[in-house]
Amino acid sequence: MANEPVTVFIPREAVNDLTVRLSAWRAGDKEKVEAGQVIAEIETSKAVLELRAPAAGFLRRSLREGSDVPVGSPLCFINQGAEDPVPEIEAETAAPAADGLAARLSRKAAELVKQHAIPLERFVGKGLIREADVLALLGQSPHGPDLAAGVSAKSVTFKRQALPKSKLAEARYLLSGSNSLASSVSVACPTRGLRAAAARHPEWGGSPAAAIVFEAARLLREHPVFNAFHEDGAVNYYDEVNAGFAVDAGQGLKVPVIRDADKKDLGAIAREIQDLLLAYTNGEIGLEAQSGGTFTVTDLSGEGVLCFQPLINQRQSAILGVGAECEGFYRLILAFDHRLSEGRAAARFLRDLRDQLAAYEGGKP
Amino acid sequence: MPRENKVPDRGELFRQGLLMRAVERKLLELFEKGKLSGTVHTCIGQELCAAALAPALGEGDVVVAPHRCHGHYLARTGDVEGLVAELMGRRTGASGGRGGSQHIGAPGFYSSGVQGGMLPAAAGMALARKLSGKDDIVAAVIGDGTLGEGVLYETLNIAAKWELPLLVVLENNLYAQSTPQAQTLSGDILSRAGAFGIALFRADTWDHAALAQRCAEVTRKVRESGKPLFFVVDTYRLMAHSKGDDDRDQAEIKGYWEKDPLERFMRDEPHAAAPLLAEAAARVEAAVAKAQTAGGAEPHEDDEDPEGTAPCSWKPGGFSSGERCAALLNEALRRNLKRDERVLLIGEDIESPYGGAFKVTKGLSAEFPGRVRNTPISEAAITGLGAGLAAEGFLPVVEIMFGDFMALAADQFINQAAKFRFMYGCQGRVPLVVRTPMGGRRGYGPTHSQSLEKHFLGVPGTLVLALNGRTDPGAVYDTLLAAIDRPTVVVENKLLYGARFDQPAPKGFTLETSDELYPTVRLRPQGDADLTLFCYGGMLPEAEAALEALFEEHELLCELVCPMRLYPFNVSPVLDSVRRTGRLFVVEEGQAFAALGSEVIARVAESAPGVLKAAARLAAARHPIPAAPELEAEVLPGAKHIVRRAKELVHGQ
Repeated sequence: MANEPVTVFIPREAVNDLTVRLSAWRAGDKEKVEAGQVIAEIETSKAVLELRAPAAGFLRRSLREGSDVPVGSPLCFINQGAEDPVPEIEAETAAPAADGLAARLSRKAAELVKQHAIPLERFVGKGLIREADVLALLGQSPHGPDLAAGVSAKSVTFKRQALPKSKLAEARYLLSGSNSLASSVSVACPTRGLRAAAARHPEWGGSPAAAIVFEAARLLREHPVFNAFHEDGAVNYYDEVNAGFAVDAGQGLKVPVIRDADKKDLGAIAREIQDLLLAYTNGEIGLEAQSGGTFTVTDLSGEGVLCFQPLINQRQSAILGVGAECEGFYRLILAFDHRLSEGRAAARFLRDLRDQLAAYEGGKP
Repeated sequence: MPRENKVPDRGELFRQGLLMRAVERKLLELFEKGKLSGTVHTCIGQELCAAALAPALGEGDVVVAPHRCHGHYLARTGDVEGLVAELMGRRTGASGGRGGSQHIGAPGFYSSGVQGGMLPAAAGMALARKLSGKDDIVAAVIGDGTLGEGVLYETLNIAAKWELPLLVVLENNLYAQSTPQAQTLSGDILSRAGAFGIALFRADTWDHAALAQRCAEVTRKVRESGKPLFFVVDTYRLMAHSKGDDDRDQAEIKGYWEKDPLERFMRDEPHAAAPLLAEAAARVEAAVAKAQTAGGAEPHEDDEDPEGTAPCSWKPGGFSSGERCAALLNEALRRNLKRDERVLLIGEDIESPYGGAFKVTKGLSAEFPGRVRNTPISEAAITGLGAGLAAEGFLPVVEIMFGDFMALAADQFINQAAKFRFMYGCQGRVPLVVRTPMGGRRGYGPTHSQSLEKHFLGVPGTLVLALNGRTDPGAVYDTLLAAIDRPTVVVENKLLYGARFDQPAPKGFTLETSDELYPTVRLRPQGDADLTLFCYGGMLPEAEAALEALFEEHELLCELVCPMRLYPFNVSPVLDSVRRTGRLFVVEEGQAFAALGSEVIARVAESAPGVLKAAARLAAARHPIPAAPELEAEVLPGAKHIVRRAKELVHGQ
């Protein structure tokens, strides 16, 4: 007789929940487990529960941690042989809207939506959503340069961690017309020290931008939630800090990326910015140079703008805006994805950044 | 109209016979002069059969005559003017000038040009009389050439088994057109009919007194017994089959001229014959003169389809029911049997307990005894029988067990039933319903899986509907049996029988139903469609699956249009869609060559020049349908084939 796998089901612990979150596996795939051994943790709306193996055998699992699994449906299997075949289990991909207005997404559209962490609420009442519709929403022509595809997780690695249910609920209720739940804070930063530093360093090109990118990149290591992106109810932390530097000097907006900005010294960053500006002028900034950003700095200080709300780029969680000097102060603005963090965390980041920049008054660097 | 069972005396017989001969000689003369077109089949030499038979029939009786019908028409109606005008193609002709020599209709009289083709209808008319409790009979006249037609034996079998008041008169003139009987007939004539247990009688046109007596005897016998009777009348055609195409032995012909009673009467008793000849000549000349001044034949008023391009309005939703299609059809047939006594179900294996190959008639024969009838396996006969019943005011619903067998019924539907209204005027209204399942995907193999409906599309005067999984199948029969005015094929589907109507419209698509009598359904995407997908009947589930896959996997939005009425075809719903999409993709399960899909593309293209930017067809592979499931799935167009072809249509090959 064939060794039928024992199916482990999601128990109906919380009657109000249609799905539970698989928060962690406590045993590996094909690992030998004993009956009664804890194999997984699941999170309901009320509690985190431990799930025990109903029988001894080899655990066979295919679901990722952080997946939502319908209550009463299979979670994994216990097999008698480590290599015995088991059925596939599919996680819930998209929570359907309660009413019949939920949009239907083509496979490619769904992938894009997932990739860009666009909430499905954006499509309520819009019927059938195809790839082109999502690209249009992202401001990209389906036939133009595919920036979204360029900014892929291929070149930048990240760590994924599921968000708590409370954060998801917040997103669902608060969300309005954007692919992120954008919020912003701003601080005033004294300009005197930066001016002086710029004067000492002709390679800065007369702009404090290099110092701002340099300092922000270092700070992002301490504030990883702003060097991350939201996707499918999870926060994904980038392993690298790649600072996009928005340039718009009459040839269209380009966001060339300064890779590993947190590991480069200020001089290197300044030179890279000057090179990028030259390349921009020569129309040499291609898709490659613009891909892989994990955070963005946009400097409108030269435009006389005091304060603005920069738009967070796809697959990022924050963007730093630099406003014009006014009465001895720059305005620094951090727009961030409220699905991942709160105003207080953003304020802390900005305060730290301001402190670092203010230190230039003392002759740094 | 003659009174029944009258035995005409010699004078009356000869008067009628000479009139027939005068009329036909005049017809041949007119033909020579180019005043007639087509053909003229004279009965010169055989007249006394008609002259003796007609007086034996009553007002409620019917004569169903073959192609050689002039004598029987004249004997039955006395209408020289109508006959002459008919052959001259005048609107005052018996059939409005539309039928010509072989296709003449009058109250109580039908003739048609296919050998034996009208026999099943004659049996149907006989059944109608029996069901109505009348003692009227049907006299079906055939020639000995018809002995080669299978439908004769199908009809004799049913008539004997069901005890129908059908008198079959066989005018045995020894030749089938030019072929002598000895070349084509095995065995003998009488034992053919005798094998069915039918009473046999024989007479000839040379002994006219005995013939007249016999005619009265056989009609009385059929009337009294209510059973069929086979009556052979030996005779000889003195003239050619039609016009000058006579290869028979001249000495033989000469011998029969000398033997002919009318010739002998004119030769031996000229004084007695003269006034009869004069009377006949006068009537013929008057008829010709009158016909010459009459207007030409006019087209049949029914030939134009009023709904051919009629726009329709749409309401959201389709039919929904948890019941299986077969159960809904069963209920609808029950409902209609109950509602209207004229409704009859006829078919092979349809009685309880079997209830039909697909169980659509289950239980109905027990509930409606005598109105739900098992038949022999005789698709042609039962279809024609239905046509005869329909012509007599019944509402027969004939089940053809498999759509493939419609080929056996084709002559009855296409050549006979479809023409009644045209040939026979108002008495030719034929509310005949033929239900049949088409389609494969059940592994039944080459002769039980086809979609042959295209061969029944485009027959003027008929209606062809195809049931689908989004429209109430029962309501179709409610509507049809209330509104039917012409022979109708309802294409059912083998897979549909087991299906329930409980699938919601594909998410993101709006299901709509038109306000047509036989509604079209469509699925419209919420968004701009890239193409119009057209299908009907059993293809709908495959088309819907393709529509979903095209969106899910291939970024293409389809608008799906699925009509119920295939013929006459209203182009409006599909044209309306193509105006939005510019692309038309037609999908059907039968063969693509010269089929509905091609027709739809052509209609769209010619209805709105410039609107159609691209078109494609998908149908079964040019291959008989195999039984092996994997192979069958490759031969028949499925969702995956539709997806592939749709992508090619939109993106180019």
